[in-house]
Amino acid sequence: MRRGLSSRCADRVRIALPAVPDSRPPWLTPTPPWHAPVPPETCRAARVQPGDVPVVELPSSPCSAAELVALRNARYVPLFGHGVTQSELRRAFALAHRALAAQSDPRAADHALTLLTHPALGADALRELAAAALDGRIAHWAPTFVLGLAQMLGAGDVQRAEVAGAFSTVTALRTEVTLATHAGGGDANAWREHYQRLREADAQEPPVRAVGIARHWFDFVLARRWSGLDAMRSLAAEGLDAPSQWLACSADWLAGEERTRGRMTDLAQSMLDPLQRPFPRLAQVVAREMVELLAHPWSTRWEHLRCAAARDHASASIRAWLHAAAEERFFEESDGTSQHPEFGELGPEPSRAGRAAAEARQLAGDFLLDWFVHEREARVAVDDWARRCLRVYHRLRGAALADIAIRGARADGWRLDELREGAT
Amino acid sequence: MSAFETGVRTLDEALLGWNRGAPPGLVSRAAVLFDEAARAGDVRGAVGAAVSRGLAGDLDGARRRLHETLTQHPRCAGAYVALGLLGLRDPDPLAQAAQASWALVAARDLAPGVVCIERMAAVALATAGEFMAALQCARTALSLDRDDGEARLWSAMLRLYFGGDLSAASVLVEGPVEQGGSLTSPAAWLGVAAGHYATAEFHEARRALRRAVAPLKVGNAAETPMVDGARRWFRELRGFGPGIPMTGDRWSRDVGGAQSDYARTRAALSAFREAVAGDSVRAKSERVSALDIDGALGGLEARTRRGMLEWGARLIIRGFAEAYLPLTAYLDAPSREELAAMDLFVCDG
Repeated sequence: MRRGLSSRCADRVRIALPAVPDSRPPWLTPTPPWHAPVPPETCRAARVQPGDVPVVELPSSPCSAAELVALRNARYVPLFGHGVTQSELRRAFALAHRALAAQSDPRAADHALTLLTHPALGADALRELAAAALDGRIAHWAPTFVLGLAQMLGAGDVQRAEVAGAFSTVTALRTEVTLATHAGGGDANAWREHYQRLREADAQEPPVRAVGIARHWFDFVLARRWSGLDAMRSLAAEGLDAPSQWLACSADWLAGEERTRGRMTDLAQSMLDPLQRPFPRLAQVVAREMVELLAHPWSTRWEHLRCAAARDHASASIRAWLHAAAEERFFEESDGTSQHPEFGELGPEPSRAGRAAAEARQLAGDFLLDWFVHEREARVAVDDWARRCLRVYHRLRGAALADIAIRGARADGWRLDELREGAT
Repeated sequence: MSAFETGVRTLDEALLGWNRGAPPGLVSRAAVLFDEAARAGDVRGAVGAAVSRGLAGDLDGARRRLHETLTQHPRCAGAYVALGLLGLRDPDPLAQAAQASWALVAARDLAPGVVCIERMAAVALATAGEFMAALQCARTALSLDRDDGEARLWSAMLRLYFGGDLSAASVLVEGPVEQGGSLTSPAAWLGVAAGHYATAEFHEARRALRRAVAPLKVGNAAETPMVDGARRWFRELRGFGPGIPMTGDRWSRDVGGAQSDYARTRAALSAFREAVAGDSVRAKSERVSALDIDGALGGLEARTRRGMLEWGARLIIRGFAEAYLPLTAYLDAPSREELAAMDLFVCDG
């Protein structure tokens, strides 16, 4: 922070003016982390001279070998690495355009994702962006755009959560941050942990339908609980945002409703149409991923049913038996024994054996412990399908966010066509 | 007479005078005499000293001593038997079941063909939830001695609630009656209660339960947990219901009703099977066959039936052990046969 300005008046009254936040981020002094030299052996292996490795701000298309070395060795400026400025926001738009332009480098999306965070800074620059948006130092839609960009580009679970975590202070993005962080788990096979956090988020007041849909989707697709499908259908009847509708349709498709394929396509198209001009490649990517996702309805359904059949359905009985036992009031008959004090009312707690069985049942049925099922092949297939499905879901959520941000930019007088031309 | 022999006689005298526990003076004297024998290098003395202390109430100390003995004499079957016996006589047998079953399986390996070891191993394994192994041990015990009432009791309990064999209920009911009601322990009436309840003879089941807890005094605070344990188990038996799971009208309730995951998965598989049978070309291209679905349906039902019996056994048989074992440990002294398996006694024949 800059020192607050002050003036000393004649009557020795000290007037302090509010401190002005310094827009220059701390990591730029003394030397920005992206100026660290690349190890000579890396350069030798890539057949690049160390002096030729640039500091990348926007990767060219196609990406040169020297730029690739720079990107893989943290020699690049992450988004908003120079500070939260309008020019950095323009760079974000330009980066998005380069990654999702019609004729862009096939790896451009990966390169753009690299530029979202930095190994030395993490998501500190994006955290600065969130703070600046809250203070009004930058357009309010800038965090929305960056989070949408990360999702549109298909960031993995870890990076998506890292980017979303930077915007956790932005109240308007709370639901999006929750979904971006918790609706995942396929990359590191951490479904259980993600579901647990999703369930906690869903239990919070007021309930958010989008979070509820994601949670029930996990329930049905990954825990093979049919109650999840019912809950999704009832939530869908009450009205949902388009990405959540798409997710609910995917569960229906998995359950055998093949007609929902058309509905899923319509929904995706409605979300991607507004972005067709700025990001033409996004629709192609989503279309290709949807084709892969929905190519084999019967095979996918069969794998899911195999997993559902392999669950320990018998464990449900323990609850029924203990519930029936708790209802019992034996020894209340007037046959003489009830007058003895030890034959009076028995506490409601079950026996130790009953408690152990109920706890084991709870552990077994809690979530996804049907991972222990012998149908490993089927489980892997369903997990893979779920991972790909969530990837498309996040792309669509990102597209919806980017659309909102672009509308905001246009309302603020930004001319995105000029940016696009500048980017190319 | 050596210190060991005197110790054995003293312990025998203490067990003869068993009345809701051993006379404290006699078991203490036996422990001291066994200690003397152990100091003289007799490993049986070490086992006897530990058992005497365990019967006097110091179960943790007794177990520690037995583990020390086993460290020095790892092939001493008597020490393993003693460890198993004390585990089964613990007030919380479920907590000790794993250790007891480990000890008794080791004892069985070192001394095969001993009825009481097989029987105790069956009890310990059933308490630990290893029902199939427990059933095998109980059957081995019965093949060695067909008149072993307790082995028959556990075998019938396992057959009924783990094997789903309703005919075993009559074995449970007739057990004490065959022997004129003079089975080793009044606690055996708990088994009779289970047999009656399985065949929907509710009044007789309640009467049998009362006979099981009849020796316990009304208003005795020390005995109340045992009465409550028996009652709690019986309450869960009533929740479990008569008959065996997945039969008749029970199955729908047992799997959680018509909206349960079992019922809906089954319905979905059946619907999918119809679709696959109706379009064999597409099924072939998607690598799905009606035969595979039939297999999944059959597997689903078989696994659920098997699982249901497993869960029922976890609830009812382990609950039975939880109620039955503290009662027998309280009311009955260890048998001479069990002491003989620890090398503390010589049985004629």
